[in-house]
Amino acid sequence: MAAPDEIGQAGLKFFGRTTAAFTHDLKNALAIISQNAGLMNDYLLMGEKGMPLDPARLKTVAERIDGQTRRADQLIKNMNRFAHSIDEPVKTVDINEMVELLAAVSFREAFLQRVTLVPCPEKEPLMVTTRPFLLLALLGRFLTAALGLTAEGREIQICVIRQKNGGQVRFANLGGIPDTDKAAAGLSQTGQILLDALGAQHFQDKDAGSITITIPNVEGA
Amino acid sequence: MKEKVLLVDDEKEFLEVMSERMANRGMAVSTADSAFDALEQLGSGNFDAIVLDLMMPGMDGIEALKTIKQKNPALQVILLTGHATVEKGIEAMKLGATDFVEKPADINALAEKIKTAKANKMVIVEQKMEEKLKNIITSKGW
Repeated sequence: MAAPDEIGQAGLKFFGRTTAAFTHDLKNALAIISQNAGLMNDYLLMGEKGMPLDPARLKTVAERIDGQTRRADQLIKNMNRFAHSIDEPVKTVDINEMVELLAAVSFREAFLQRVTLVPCPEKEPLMVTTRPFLLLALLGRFLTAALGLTAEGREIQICVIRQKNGGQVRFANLGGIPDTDKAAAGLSQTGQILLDALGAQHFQDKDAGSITITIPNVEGA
Repeated sequence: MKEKVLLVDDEKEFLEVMSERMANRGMAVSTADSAFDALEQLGSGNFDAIVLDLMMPGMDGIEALKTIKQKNPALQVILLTGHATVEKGIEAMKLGATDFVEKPADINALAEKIKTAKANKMVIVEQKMEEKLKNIITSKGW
């Protein structure tokens, strides 16, 4: 098993990258809100100079501000859920919810590569005792690898599969997995550190175009 | 004469509100929601300035800046970003950006930068015209 510092470093990297993506999107939402507030001010100044105010335009501005405020609120909710994933080192969590959170925190990364993430949850909650934050960090690394294998305009399905002991997360509908590119398949040193910390394993199906991570229940809850 | 501006950002609502505010300030504004769309419009646009978002899907602002400067070195490019770091700013200036502005940009400050960009472009264009004329005069032996 890797030294605690190596596991910590792997986690910190993921935390930093994810927080940066959140703040970028939040800033975009705030910029739109700010400019629409400025536009409303422009209309008022024009009104003071005698130009009639157009209710339809004001309504559009108000709707934009409302929409972007909701967007910012959802971003902050996701950020909060992500931050709380580190509260307890070992916890029993619903893997369906973890995958949903993964898709939310990875939205920007996928968007920049013009790929859509589609969570495919199990019908019923899939409760697994695991290390939630490290699991997110591991899945995040594999998702980055999966994005590297997927052409623009496509979808990646993130499926949850029930197992006797624990569960599986499968990244499916990928473009095809190169034989020799282990780094792209997520098996970098950091990826291995996280796999070991979770007692997890991974395998690729080149023909089906999928990468599957098996997540067992860990002891120590 | 109106400043002719191309505004490039992947956030459509940002484009809508900014283009209206810039038009209210007397500018002629075209918009593009990707670097690829922007590069297509450059062919026919004759813009005074381009306001270009840094982080966009597909081609990002830095790559777009390099391509724009290769095709039309006189074109003035103002980069817009959510996170203006010193490193990114230096990289952008080295590649020929006119300015580097952090979102949310103050619209009046941005309008001033666009006026300055237009003036810079006119100086460059006039210098090129002078050089051309000099070459013609020299080649004809007048």
